[in-house]
Amino acid sequence: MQISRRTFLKLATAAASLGLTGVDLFRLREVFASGSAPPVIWLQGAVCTGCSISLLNSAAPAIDDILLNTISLKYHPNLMTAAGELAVTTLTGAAEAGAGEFILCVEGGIPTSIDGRYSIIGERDGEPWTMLDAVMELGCKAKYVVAVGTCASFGGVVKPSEYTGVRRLAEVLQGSTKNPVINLPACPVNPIVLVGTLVRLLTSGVPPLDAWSRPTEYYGTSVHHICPRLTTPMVQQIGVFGCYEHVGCKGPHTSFTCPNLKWNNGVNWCIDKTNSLCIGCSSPNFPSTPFYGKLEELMPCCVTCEMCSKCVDCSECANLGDCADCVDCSNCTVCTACDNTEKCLDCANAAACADCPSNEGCACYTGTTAPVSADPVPVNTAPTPEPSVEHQH
Amino acid sequence: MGSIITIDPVTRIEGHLKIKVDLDDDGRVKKSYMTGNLYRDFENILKGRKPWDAVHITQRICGVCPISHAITATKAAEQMAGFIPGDQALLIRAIIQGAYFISDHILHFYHLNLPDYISPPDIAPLRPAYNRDLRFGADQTEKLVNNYVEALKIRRQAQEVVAILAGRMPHVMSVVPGGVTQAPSHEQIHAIKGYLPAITDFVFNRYYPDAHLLSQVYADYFKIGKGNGNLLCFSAFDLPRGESVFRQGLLTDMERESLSLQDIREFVRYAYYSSPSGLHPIHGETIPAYGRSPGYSWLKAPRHRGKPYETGPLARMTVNGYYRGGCSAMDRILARAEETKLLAERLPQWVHALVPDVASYTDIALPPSGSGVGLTEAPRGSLGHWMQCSTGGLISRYQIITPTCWNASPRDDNGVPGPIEQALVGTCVEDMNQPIELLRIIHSFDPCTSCSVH
Repeated sequence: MQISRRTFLKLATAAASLGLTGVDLFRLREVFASGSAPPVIWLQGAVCTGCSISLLNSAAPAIDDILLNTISLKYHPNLMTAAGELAVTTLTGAAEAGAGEFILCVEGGIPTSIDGRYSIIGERDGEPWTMLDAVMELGCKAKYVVAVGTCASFGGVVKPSEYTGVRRLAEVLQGSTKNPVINLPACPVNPIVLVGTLVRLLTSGVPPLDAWSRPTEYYGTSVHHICPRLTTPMVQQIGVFGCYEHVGCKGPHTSFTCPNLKWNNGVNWCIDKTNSLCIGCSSPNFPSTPFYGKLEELMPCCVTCEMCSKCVDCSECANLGDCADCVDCSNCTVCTACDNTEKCLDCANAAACADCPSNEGCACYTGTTAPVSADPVPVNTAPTPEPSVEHQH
Repeated sequence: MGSIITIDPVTRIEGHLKIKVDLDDDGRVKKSYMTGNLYRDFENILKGRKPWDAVHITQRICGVCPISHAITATKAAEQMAGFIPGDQALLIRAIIQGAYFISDHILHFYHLNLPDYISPPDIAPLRPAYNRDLRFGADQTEKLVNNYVEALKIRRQAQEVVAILAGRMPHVMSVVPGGVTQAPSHEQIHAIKGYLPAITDFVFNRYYPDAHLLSQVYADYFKIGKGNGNLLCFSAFDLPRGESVFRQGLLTDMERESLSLQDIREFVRYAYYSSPSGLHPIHGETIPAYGRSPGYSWLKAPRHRGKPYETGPLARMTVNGYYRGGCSAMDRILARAEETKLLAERLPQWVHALVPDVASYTDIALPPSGSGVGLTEAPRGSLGHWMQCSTGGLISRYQIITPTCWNASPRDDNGVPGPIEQALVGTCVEDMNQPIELLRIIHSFDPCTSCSVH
């Protein structure tokens, strides 16, 4: 597929917002000039489809350019014409023909209970084909695997179910992928992050990732740190101008460049102008704490530490703001032996983190620098704990 | 021949849906079974959370319909608190809801529905496609495909209008119990006014004519996919002075009857639940039991006085007297286009009535216990949230009945099929390998399966 001059100019215009350099654009042109649009397969597990709608909301480049000129979206349940058997054979055919080349985008958490049958994506050979089986089969064939949104990245809003056993994508694939699973959390995914990452993959491969396997360029700071309301007076309610840290804003504990990216072609975002707060929708522990509440109600639970279920008592931690300290918390037994856990997000040996440094097969190792992230360093890769009742004050 | 057709997945809808039909010897649908294929457990996840959290968690039932869930959850909490939002809050909510209906109906007509009727260009994901009963000429097809591409832009811009007042879309932030947190500035109102001409122009001069063109070329679909004439609509687009665009109402066999919320029940004999059947949502329970016989779907079967009801633009427009036609696949498509036109006419009036920089939010407290019901309309039809809070102000029960739960419901305990199941019966499938007729009927309802199984 030839990239049209119009598309290229649009991409060049969008380059700044996507964080692309001139070299990236040059490579992108080479990719398009090479003749075939890169195949993309988009699967949906325990979804709300919000991430797909967010993809459609991509403004620069516009979604029509992405679909018509940038990628070849072989399978997408909401957009494809084919249905039923024709859809399923399209999917399996695309995975076969593009083995080792296609990008697999996964939206939604992966239900694992009852053999994955809480999420059935179609019928293959007369049998229900579960999302669990589909990602296991396709994950190892893909060149790149992208967890689109918080549910695929971390389990998200569907994780707390006692029944469905939702797991995050990287956990299900357990390092069986050719490249590390790239997490693009936010509920829904931000279209700039999604499209920007896809373009990066096409031009220069896997971008630098942080400890949670997120592209550092989008998740390298906390919402609070770059919030335009940072220096404004603390207020005691939403709906008025000010900083909402005392009424439950999760900005201080959420790693995301949301205030810079904004939403919907940059017209708005949750805090400034909207006069609402950050509910931490890109956080690994979303949605485990109440979204609103007075500071005194929220303080007893250590909001930064919920990834380790033992940390309910972390009010004793000297340094609440820095969860790296939790590793030293006497209650957190899982990872005390391991000084390398941040590199093992996808490690199969979740429960025994001492193995992590020696696990050469841990495909997730990216060798990136220490995270400057507001989220806790992932202290284990075991199924992340359900939010305990104690947290819900 | 007497055979079975299965379509799984049904694509170009929201969520995971399977359809199975039994054909008689003449190739007509004798029986049909709709299966929702994803269960996420939202009603249980909500237990122990605060009502405020429900506004955001229920939006994530569906990223296509988040605003309807936000408004419904908000109304349930406001009812519990005895709070009535001010005029500016109502106007902002109406604009948010209106712009999102327009965005969603455009998405439905061009991107979800139209590929059933045209020969698409040879590009993924529009190809591969069935190759049957394609009646548009090359010029018409080209025009429709161009409008398909243009519609991608217009629906995105309509979502940007939503985001200007709601923070972002999907999963909005400004709609909460107590009003709307955002006080729109001069600049924001000006920005919205800048978007409206292109959006309304597209609705009036592309979408509306294209829908009518489709109805002329495929006029036989006024006789296909017939509904049972039971139509249901809740009140929606609440406006100042007690006005609303849509009043709640109900037609049974096309005759007006009273709508009684007390007479709604959800049946689960043919659904994958072990909880009791026939409960009112205020007493509803949700205990999943995959594979439980004779269940075949994750959808419960809601009924009003024991009868299935169709809901959606056709029901809203017919119940409120804005649309006078039949109850068929093509009527659904036309009523949706008529509704989009109606909202595109009203939207600028609401924007004009906004008062710049006027706050519309009150910091309200909810009682520690109580219950509330929120009702509104989603693009696909009637939506209700039934919430109960026990001590500590935490949710003890949350039951949701969504539009597609009505439309795509499985059989009830008496074995009466749901509206889409009924609409498929009698349809002649000409080519078993390309059952396009079934897809066209299902798409006319614009199913949202994620909403319907939550």
